[in-house]
Amino acid sequence: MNDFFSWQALLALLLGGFYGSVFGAIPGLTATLAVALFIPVAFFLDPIIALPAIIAISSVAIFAGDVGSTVAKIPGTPASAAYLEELFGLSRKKGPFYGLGLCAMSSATGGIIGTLLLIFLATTMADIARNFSSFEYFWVAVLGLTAGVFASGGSTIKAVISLLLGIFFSTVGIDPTLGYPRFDFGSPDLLGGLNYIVAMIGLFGFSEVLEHLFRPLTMKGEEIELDKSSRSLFFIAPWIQIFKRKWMVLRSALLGVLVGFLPGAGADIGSWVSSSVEKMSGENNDNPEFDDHVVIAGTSSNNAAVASAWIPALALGLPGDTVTAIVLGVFLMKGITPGPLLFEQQPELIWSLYITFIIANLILLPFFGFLTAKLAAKLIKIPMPMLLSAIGGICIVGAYVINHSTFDIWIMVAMGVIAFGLKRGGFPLSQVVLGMVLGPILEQNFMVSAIKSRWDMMSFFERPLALGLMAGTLLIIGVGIWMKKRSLK
Amino acid sequence: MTVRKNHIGGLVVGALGLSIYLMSRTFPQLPEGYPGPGLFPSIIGILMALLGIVIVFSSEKEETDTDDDALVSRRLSLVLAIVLSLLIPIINRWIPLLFILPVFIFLIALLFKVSLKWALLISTITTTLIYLIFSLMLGVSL
Repeated sequence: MNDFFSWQALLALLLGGFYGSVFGAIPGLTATLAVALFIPVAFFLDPIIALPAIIAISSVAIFAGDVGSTVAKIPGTPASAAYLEELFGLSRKKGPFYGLGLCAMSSATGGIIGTLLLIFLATTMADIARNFSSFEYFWVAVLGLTAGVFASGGSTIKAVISLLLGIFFSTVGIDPTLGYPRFDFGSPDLLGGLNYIVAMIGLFGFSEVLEHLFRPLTMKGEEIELDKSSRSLFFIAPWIQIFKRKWMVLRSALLGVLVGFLPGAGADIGSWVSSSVEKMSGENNDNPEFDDHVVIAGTSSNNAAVASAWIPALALGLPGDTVTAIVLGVFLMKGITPGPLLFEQQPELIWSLYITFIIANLILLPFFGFLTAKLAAKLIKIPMPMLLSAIGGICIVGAYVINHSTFDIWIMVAMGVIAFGLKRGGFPLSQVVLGMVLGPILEQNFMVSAIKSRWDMMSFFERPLALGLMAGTLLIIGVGIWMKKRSLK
Repeated sequence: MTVRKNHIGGLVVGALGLSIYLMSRTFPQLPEGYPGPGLFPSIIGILMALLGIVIVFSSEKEETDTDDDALVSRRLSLVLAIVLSLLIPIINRWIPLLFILPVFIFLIALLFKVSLKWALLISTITTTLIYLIFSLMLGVSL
């Protein structure tokens, strides 16, 4: 625990918060991209220093995405697009500092609720997972993949294809049963498999550079003046609204926790679900506080989802969102295996994660939130082409430094090109990552279970915990199909 | 011009799935004829091939971008950026990455139509930052 309170860890936390606030505020740059570009640096740091920085980046970047929506009606992140009209509207009526204050305070409240549930549920889930054998881990992977398909929000078929592609990428290299090389095309560089972090940098970093080269971001927003006053509008006035709507805040945060918990969903979907529920709740649009309520619902949900995405990641090794997927990759490369044993072997890491979430939501969000609000007008005018040129260079270096291998630069570029193609075709990217993370868990545990039961397939349905997980998978399929049908009507 | 939406995507996915399946058939089996390393890749290949076909046949007609000058120039920029990135490992056989990097960033900035002055500035600043963080602070040799 002393390591967590070292000056290096606290500096990493502060710098992470600052980096996240700048990155999130610039339209077109996402929290995932911010984390992906930080990974090559995090790889060389002690996890107890790198982890707080990553949490600070993702928590603050999700909030900072609201800066563009508030000042220029340009959402900084996909999560903030869910309540764009409402946030811009209320910022025009009550001032941008009030709008951003409402976002920061609701995000902080949602984040704290998500963190409390993270502390409670991750430990409980890890206790249950102690009884898991290879059969249960196989079903956990199936459940995660199934949830990932329905959490995508878009075409189910395309989500399945993205998942399959991710699982295929995970099969490259030596296979887990016979040690036979697969899809290595005679290259010794591919025998060890595709480097996960290198792939992430290509999928989320380099693909952005290609995307913007092909389709430059046109930012035609309406700008509003930043008022001079501020502290009371930012720090105090939003609390009156949040307190008046405390039950809605709780409901939205819980919805965010639920969505964040689903593998592959994350803060963006959490934000859309909660703000849509509030918009459909039957409240009169003429209510002068309607916009406030939609914004509170969306923002309290997104940071709750950021925290809850860590529940399955820590307890089972299932990533709740792309950020946790990237972190799981770093964990594995550092020899840290997520799951119940992590709670026994590295309790200081788990506690530093919990404390970081509390600090990030209680202190960093309001502090960097206010700072970002003060710098808002300047941040959204930073020219994207210059930033993207720099990001292109950072992607190249990031891919190289992990293994000191120039071959990895080719892998990174190939992943960037594939991600560009997938995005153009409307295929979700987070499902590719989910496939890459869960593919090895699925295959290894299936093969181990099959071999130890002498290929008796009924053994997959005999253990009570395995049956419970299978029932959960069927439930997700049922609910997913029902929701898809409902959305088509 | 109208084409079927997702037509190309479906065909690419189908072809990829078929290739994965055919390659996985060359993998050995476990003793007593049980499936081995080829099991998962062949399932992935079959599913991808089938879903690729589904996408091809379920696609709707849509308008595509007209082949105007801007589109040609954007495509060219994209291809040039990819080629430049792929050349880095080859050039790195003779020149250290730290010296290739500013040139790469400069050229990418030009592809983004950043002015010469700003392209020089951003490439210098980024390379300096990369040197400071990776070489000096983290001790990585570039």
